[in-house]
Amino acid sequence: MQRRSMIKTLGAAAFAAAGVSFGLGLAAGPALADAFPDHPVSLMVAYSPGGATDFQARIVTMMAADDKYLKQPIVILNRPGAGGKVGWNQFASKAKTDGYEMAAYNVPHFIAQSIVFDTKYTIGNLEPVGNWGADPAVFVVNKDSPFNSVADMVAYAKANPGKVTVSGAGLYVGHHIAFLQIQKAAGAELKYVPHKGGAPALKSVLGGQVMAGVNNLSDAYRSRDNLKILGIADLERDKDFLPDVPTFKEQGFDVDDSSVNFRGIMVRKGTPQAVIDVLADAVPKMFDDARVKKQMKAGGSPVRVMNRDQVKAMWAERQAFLTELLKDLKQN
Amino acid sequence: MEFLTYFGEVFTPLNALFLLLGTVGGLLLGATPGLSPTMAVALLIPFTFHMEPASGLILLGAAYTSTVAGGAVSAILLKIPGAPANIATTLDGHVMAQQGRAAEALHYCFISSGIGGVLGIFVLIFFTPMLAGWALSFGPSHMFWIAILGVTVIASLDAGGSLIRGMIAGCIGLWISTIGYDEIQGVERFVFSSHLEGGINVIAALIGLFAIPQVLAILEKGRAKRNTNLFDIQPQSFGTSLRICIGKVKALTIGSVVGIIVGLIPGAGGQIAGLVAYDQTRKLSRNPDAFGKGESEGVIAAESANNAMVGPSLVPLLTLSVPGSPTAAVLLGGLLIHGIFPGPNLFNDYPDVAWTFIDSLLVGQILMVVFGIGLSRVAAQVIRIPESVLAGAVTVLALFGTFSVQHSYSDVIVMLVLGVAMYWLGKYKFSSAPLVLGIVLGPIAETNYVQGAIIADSQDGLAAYFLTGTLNLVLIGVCLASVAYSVVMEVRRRKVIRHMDLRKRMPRPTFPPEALVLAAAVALIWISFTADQDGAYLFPQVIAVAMALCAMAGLFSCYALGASLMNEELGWVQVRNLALGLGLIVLYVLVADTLGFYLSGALIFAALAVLYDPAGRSPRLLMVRGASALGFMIVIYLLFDQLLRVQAPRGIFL
Repeated sequence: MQRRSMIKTLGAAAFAAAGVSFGLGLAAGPALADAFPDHPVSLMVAYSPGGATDFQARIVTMMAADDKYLKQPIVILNRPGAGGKVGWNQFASKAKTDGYEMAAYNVPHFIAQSIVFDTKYTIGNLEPVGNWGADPAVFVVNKDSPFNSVADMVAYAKANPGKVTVSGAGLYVGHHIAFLQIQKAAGAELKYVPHKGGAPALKSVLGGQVMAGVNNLSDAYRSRDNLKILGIADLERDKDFLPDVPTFKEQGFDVDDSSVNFRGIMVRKGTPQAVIDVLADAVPKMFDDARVKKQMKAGGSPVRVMNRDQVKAMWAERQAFLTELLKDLKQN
Repeated sequence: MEFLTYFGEVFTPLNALFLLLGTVGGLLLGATPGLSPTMAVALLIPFTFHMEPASGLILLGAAYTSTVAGGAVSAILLKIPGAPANIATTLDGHVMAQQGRAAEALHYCFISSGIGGVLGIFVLIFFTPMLAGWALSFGPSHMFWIAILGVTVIASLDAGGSLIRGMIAGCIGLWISTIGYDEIQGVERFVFSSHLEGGINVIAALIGLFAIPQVLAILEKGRAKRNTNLFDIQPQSFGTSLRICIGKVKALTIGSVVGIIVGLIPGAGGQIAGLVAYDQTRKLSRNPDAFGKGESEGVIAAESANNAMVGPSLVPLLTLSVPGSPTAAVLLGGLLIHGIFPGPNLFNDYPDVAWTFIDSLLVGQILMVVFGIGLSRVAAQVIRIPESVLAGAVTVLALFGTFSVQHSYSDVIVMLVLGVAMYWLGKYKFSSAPLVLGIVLGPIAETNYVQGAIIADSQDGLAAYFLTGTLNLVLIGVCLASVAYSVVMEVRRRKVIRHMDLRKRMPRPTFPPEALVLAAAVALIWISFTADQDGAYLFPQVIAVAMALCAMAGLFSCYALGASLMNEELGWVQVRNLALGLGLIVLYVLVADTLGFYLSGALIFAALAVLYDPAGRSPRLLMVRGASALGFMIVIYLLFDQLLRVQAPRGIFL
């Protein structure tokens, strides 16, 4: 008797559920095809909350719900781990391809990792939407350090091979690429100490646990009173934030801009072209919004807006370059 | 005394409103499993875009303060810690609630949180410049020893269980933490299923290991009449609580001091603060055996520690722009979007913002106590909610909280699997706390060891790096003392058990979990010693060997000494009672992705609440429970989806 009524209750509940969902499905059907997006869009960031990528992603997406852009908010979610591999692997293999699940990319990180490791992501299975920023790597030492230039550090490293420890935010991220380039250009053996993100890596320099560090321009800029910023891994000096810091090239070391950290938004391959078109149109405009730019500048984050085609070209160019660089450097 | 001049700013109508909202909202968010302080603060960041810098920071600071304390509410009432920082609070807090002392436990929790919190903020106000440099001097070797100190503590954490089973649980937790990519070298380890690719998320594990066994413990009773007196609430006036709490000077001091020190060290985090404070208070107590049996000092030490941590964790952030904790990192974002760069010049360039923020933290602590005490009157009523309704609500929240962390359905599946396994282990007196703490401490120990080894290689070698220097030696000394104490305690306890001659009264388990653990450990030893990239397998090797040794010791004590502590056998009646509910929960987890969280949640809530109600089923009950299920889901929808933009699995409906 008891069992029977239990089954009855369950049956009734299931029937009710089916009825409700069927009705709603009918109602929602035509609306879905109407306009993308009709509900909030998520943006996966492969780094922890509070990191530079997370922080910038939150700023550049704050205007998404505006009528001029997506008309729906973008919700940030963090899936950190292993320098971005956890988040991007999951994204490239499991994310939905309806445009409602986007991810933030970091170049050269994801491209370099896809070359070195057996990852599920490559530039081939991801579709760029737009680029919002470019943050060059800088070489820093503690303000009490005896090194006053990159040359000082290199001279010491040549006399003491393997004794110069250099912190950075993990393996095969922009910092590590810059480190590999610096080591190659200097012709000296340095020791890379990977950390879980830029902030802990910078902390190691400030706390004197390592002798030097490669870090984001924006983070190093904020701590400039306790650091000496010896070089910038870019083609030109940074006029806005660090006009007095020379590039590596100026100091005679052949380090170009391949480690510059480009950040932007991508979706999975297989997303309908119509949806990509909507995003590729609205997202770069949103990055260009005056309020977004103002807050990015206030936060010390360099902005560089690029549209989908420009990012596509940039990805392909980095892919070729990094394949060459890593083939060369992996043997070290 | 500059901070006094900005107190007025905190009480402008708008700022006071944000302070209030942050405090009340933080308490509620903190009590929701899965919403850790870091996530709560991150969710509020978008709201601060449109505010004045000081107002925005007040909102974030108030939320930070009160989410930490709010996590204790569910820890005490439901034995489900809101965040890893509240794990130690469950040990005595929930026992107190079971003894009918829920109101008292909540009072102690908020009063000690407030006291610890205020002391921590005074440290931030007066000693910041002095301590900032010291905080940064903690390098990988020191962090490694701090993590090891935590490891030495976890085994003896649950006074009710045996030391060996605590060690086994700790080893399992440490091993779980190595699943997925290793953080430094990026090598994939122990990914037996694609659901494990991203590793096991700490919050998912926390919810699974604590919440699911609670739900299953309700379901196993089926529809039997319950002893309602067990969950009585004896009222205690706030004045009495305050007097008693302030009288516990030793617990408050140890809690606050540990919280402040741990808070200052970047990267250590609140979970260690509560854990170490709880352990130290017990070890220094004249009556250590009372811990785990509803000792108020346990709650007071743990809660004063995790709130004392809040102020000092901001020291490296405000002076050096280095966030010392994940939550501080999110607060940094809250500062930066307004163009405020923390650093040596913060207090010169933006004294109004900096001091208003710090003052609001101070006021926030007081408000947190006031609202917390107010809330505890209501919250304690949670205990009066029929158990079957509670089972429904917790099941829904467990899925929601787990999914919300990183929108990963794999996390939800992992959460459920861990939860069911923990329920079974719980029958053999294994407890959840050492397991979760193993998961928390594992990566801290491993990452810092690997970093330290790289640095040591460029200096004078491993031994010199990890074993010399005053700070290293002090930390090693504390670790050794902790181990020695635990061993002495265990020997003493074994004598008592022997004396009671449990051999005769306790049946030997037919299938002890130790056997399974030993088999697993052997497999792990084989995997980790034969792996290609053996550099990345050093930790798994050590853990697997330790796990095997502990399991053998466990089996030995079980059979040779007969010192089994199992006193609950999973009988057929319970299995039958469980089958329907667990089946429904599994079904729920499987269909939530297609049916949508809100619809499937309402269904499982109603189903569990009706099917497991001891009063029997009537149309009226079905209506009432259906309505409460619907109401519950609507509240979640409005609060999280609409207001905070937390997404749940979407389906055909919503």
